[in-house]
Amino acid sequence: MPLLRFIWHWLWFLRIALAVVLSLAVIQRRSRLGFPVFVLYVCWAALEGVILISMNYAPSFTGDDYFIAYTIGEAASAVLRFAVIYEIFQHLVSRYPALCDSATAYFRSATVVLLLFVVSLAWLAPAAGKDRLMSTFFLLQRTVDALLCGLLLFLLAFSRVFSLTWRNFVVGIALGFGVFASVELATSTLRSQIEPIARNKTTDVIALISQGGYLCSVVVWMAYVFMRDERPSKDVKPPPLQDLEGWNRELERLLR
Amino acid sequence: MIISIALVLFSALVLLLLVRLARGQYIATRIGESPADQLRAVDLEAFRNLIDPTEEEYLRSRLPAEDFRKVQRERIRAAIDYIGCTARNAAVLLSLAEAARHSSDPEVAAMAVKLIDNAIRLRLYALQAIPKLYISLFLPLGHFSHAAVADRYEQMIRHVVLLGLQYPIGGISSAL
Repeated sequence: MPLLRFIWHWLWFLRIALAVVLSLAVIQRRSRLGFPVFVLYVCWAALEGVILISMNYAPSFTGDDYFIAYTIGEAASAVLRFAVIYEIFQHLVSRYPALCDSATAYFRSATVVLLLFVVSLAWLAPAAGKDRLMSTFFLLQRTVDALLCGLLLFLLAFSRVFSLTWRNFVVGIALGFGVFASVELATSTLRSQIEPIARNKTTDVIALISQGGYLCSVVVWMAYVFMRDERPSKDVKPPPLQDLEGWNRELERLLR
Repeated sequence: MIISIALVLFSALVLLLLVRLARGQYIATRIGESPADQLRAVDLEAFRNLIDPTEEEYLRSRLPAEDFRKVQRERIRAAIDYIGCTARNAAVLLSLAEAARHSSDPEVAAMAVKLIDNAIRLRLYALQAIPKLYISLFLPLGHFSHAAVADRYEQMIRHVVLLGLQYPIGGISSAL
């Protein structure tokens, strides 16, 4: 086995082992962490990994069986990823009742606009690799990841516009998804354009980067799950002294 | 190929912004600046005068059409500045109220929640009003009432004052 594929396999094993540990940790801490959809996603990712690794080494399963299981697993994961993004959004705006209705309308509009945009991109830059099946698969993955990245960018812009506070754990979830989605977007974009019939060094390097990105996101989630600090990420300390004179002047001005 | 390169760059941008968020740089207040230093004074009376429809009608009746359009454009630009300023101040006060929200004193926490509510509404209004005002610089879209901004801002100042009587928030009052 060439070195790159050997490293890829070890990263795969490591990622699934860490995903199993992470899923046990989030199940144990689920009441403290909140975010039930994220807990479900982490557990699903671990289960999917264990099933796929078993199918990879069990002689009774063919390559086609593996591909079908992988496709179903990825489709379910994609749905759960969007659900987690929505969960993050709900968490962000739920602390601001004045914002809830408008925020939901903005989120829906952004999703529709992004969906139209990524579908247009898929039409304008279709799969161009020699392996048509895998190129189309990576095109679909690219479309999903572009939508995911777009929604994350929307969340960042939205929280910036309204100066919303992110809890540390929410930052962790978003960062993990950001690492995963951005690396996947870059790698699936490349593979949708260059995927050859037989794997070569280039595809091995891209697959290694993709696996490394997924591993990094699991490590990020683990770090934030095990972190005990629950302070908001935007920590504003008020100045120490009370400016009573100033307040009195202001009160007098308002009472005039 | 251009689309592929753009997507790869877009993915790098998302990652960069998220890393900045995680490092606390994205939405943190600027280091070395107290909230009072970040606030900008807003002359509410001047703003009310600027958005007063009777004032607009008076100018329309007194000035030649060409001059009125010039003056009106200047008034719209000034209104954009005022609304932008109130929105920026609302963001600063929002950060301050976030800190006060976790106070052990229930009165302080309740006042902070009211301030957050007002600041959010004001920023929401500014988000909708500023694009409309920019469009009205070029297209006559009729009169928009922006009195809600002034009212909301005044209400917000009142909450800041009341909060300041119970919670240490420094020289905010004079800055507003």
